[in-house]
Amino acid sequence: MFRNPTIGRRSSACIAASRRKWAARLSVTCKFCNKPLKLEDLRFQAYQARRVIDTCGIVTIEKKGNVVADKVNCGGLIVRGKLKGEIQSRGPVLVGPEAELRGDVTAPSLAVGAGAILEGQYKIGAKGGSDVADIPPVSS
Amino acid sequence: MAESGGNDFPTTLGPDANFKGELTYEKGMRLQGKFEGNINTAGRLHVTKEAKLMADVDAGWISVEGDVRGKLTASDRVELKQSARYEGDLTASKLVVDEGAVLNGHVTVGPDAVKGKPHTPGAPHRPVNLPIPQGQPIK
Repeated sequence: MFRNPTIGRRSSACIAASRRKWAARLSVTCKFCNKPLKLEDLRFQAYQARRVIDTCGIVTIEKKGNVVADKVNCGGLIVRGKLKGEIQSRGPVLVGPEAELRGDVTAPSLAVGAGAILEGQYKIGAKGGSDVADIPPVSS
Repeated sequence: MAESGGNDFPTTLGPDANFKGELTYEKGMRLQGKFEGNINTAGRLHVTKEAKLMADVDAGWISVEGDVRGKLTASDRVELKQSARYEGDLTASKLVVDEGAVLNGHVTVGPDAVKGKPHTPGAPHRPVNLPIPQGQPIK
């Protein structure tokens, strides 16, 4: 369970130039639970079978993509192809026209294109997927 | 049950109405009050913001703005508007969920999702086009 991760731009020092540079990082560590968090956006364009897909970024399944996973934890989800798995998204889930999404979905919002196929247990709404929002802001 | 204006929704269940039972209609109904039971129609059902529906619905097109609990089956589409709160099993050819809508339940959506389901008893009978044998005069 993630707790209010510190996501975003951070400074990183260049060894060669010895200068500090602000850059978007692909992973950070949660300052509360010390769990490493991936920030990268993932894009699938072919068949892939995975146990867990875990990122704070946006997962995109392209038209020719066919992903089978046990669990998908993501910051947002765009399905244009096929996806099967238990999905927990902290951002909106977009299902394109003629896409297939099979599995249980928990997300704050859902958009479905014409001709899309959905099957599973859905929890969509204010509480869906965003347990981060329930945590009060930390006073600095 | 009051008859009110509008071609799409000739039937309206008003905000002070409380209906329990089975309802069948042809064209469309706007639900503004409370409904408990079953709805069977080939037409449209519009559940307004203030309405509460606890029913199994078999319709052509369902639009929800209020609170709904029960099994929804739509041969065409289900629309969950921004203020909609839905809990139950949903089966439809198309699904539209506006941002802010709350959906909790099992969802089956797709062009073939509604096909093959037996026609619910109590639903209005549609005219069936039977093949006319050639060479025989039509009486």
